Amino acid sequence: MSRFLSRRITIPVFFVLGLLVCGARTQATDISGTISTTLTIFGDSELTGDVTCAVPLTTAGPNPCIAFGADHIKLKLNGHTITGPITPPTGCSVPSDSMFGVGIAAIDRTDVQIQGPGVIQHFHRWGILLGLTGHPSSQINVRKVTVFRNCWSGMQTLSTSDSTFEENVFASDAGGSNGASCGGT
Amino acid sequence: MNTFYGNGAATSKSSPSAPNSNNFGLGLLGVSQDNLIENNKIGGNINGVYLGGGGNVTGNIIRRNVILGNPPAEAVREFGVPIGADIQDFSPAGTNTFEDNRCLTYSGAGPSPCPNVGKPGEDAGQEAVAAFIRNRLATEARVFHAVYHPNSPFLPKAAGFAVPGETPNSVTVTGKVVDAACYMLHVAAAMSVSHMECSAACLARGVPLAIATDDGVLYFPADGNQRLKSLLNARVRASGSVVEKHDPMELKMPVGDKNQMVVRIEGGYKQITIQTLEKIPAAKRRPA
Repeated sequence: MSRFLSRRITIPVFFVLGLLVCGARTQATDISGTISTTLTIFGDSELTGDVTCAVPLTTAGPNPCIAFGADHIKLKLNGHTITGPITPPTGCSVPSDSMFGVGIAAIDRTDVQIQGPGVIQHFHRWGILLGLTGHPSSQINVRKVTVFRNCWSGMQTLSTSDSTFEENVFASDAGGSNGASCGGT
Repeated sequence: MNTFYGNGAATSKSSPSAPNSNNFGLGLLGVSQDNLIENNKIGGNINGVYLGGGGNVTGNIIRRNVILGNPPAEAVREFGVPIGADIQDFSPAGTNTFEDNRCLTYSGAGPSPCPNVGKPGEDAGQEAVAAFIRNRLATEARVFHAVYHPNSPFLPKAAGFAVPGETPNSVTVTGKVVDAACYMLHVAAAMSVSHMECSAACLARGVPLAIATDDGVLYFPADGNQRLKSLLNARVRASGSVVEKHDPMELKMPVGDKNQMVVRIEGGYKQITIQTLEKIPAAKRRPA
């Protein structure tokens, strides 16, 4: 849908692949507590408690807290909160940053779901990132999620098609976009 | 239905000289084509819906959304009217479709889909929203556009007494003393604690005050701000005679040092000649 931001940011392909390979490999997982390296899920997963994200920015491009690693799966938030390390506007990403944090990423994915209720908040750039230029995603469903106080947009879609976003709340995002055109979605 | 509230910063601009912020509630940027944006609530953002330029934001349908209160009154006061709009549209004229949105302000090549606050019975699928709008604009006020006048008095034109055809009724009303212009633009902002300093500044510049009842009706005092000014933001009970005024009234808000924004009420309004006035305790919140 939007490629505006991606025109400013070059994201090498191998870093995206590295993100999928190097992250913790998880299948059908109950998730809670602190995540200190990208958690990549390969099966239906759900939060069983609140999550604190402390993923260091070590990879060029997005450094997600949780990444979808397979198609046709869902992540249920079960009313819990995923909290990143930033309180905007302090510490927010600037457009020239090559590495940046996001909450949940679905890149190169088809038919995945993020199901609320639940909250995604306080990330360097986006609470939710769907697709990247050259790495399209499709048939993404985001439902009943509250995306709150992230530095850039609450949810960013890039090269994303045939997707549905329903009953979500995007509030107080883009408080530290540093000139980038951002907002709720 | 998605909800977009309070997103964006007024200081984020595509260039230092840009009049508007490039932040928004919901944005279509870059290559954004053939999207359906339907039945969303979008309020209190710097821009409500933002359509980017470049000629590749086309074929989108934006319909049956409630896009109101963008930008917040505080942002308008601080940064001026051009900082944002309910719909900020940089796409070529006619390349996207706006249908049945509820909105007040539009900036773009047009044709403008705003203002459009609907009529009773038109919002069957959005009853709560429709009720909110109708209560808020109970006098069928319409914000036409921002009008800049370098030197004009801030008090409403239409302070006065009943005239033939305007039969006074004795009533007692209970509500909060608010600055009327802000209230009509953004109810939630005007009623918030964080707005108190802003409203005091507006009062100092002569912005008209009114009593906003719990059901959203505004009563404008016949004697201007004189009796209400010491009760700004307080909950009051006032009794007196009320008349329905039918002549247009303009509420004027200072914008910066030299400009002002004018809200023109054309559908009539209620004017109260206050006989007794007392401060009462704040209303208790109802349990959710």
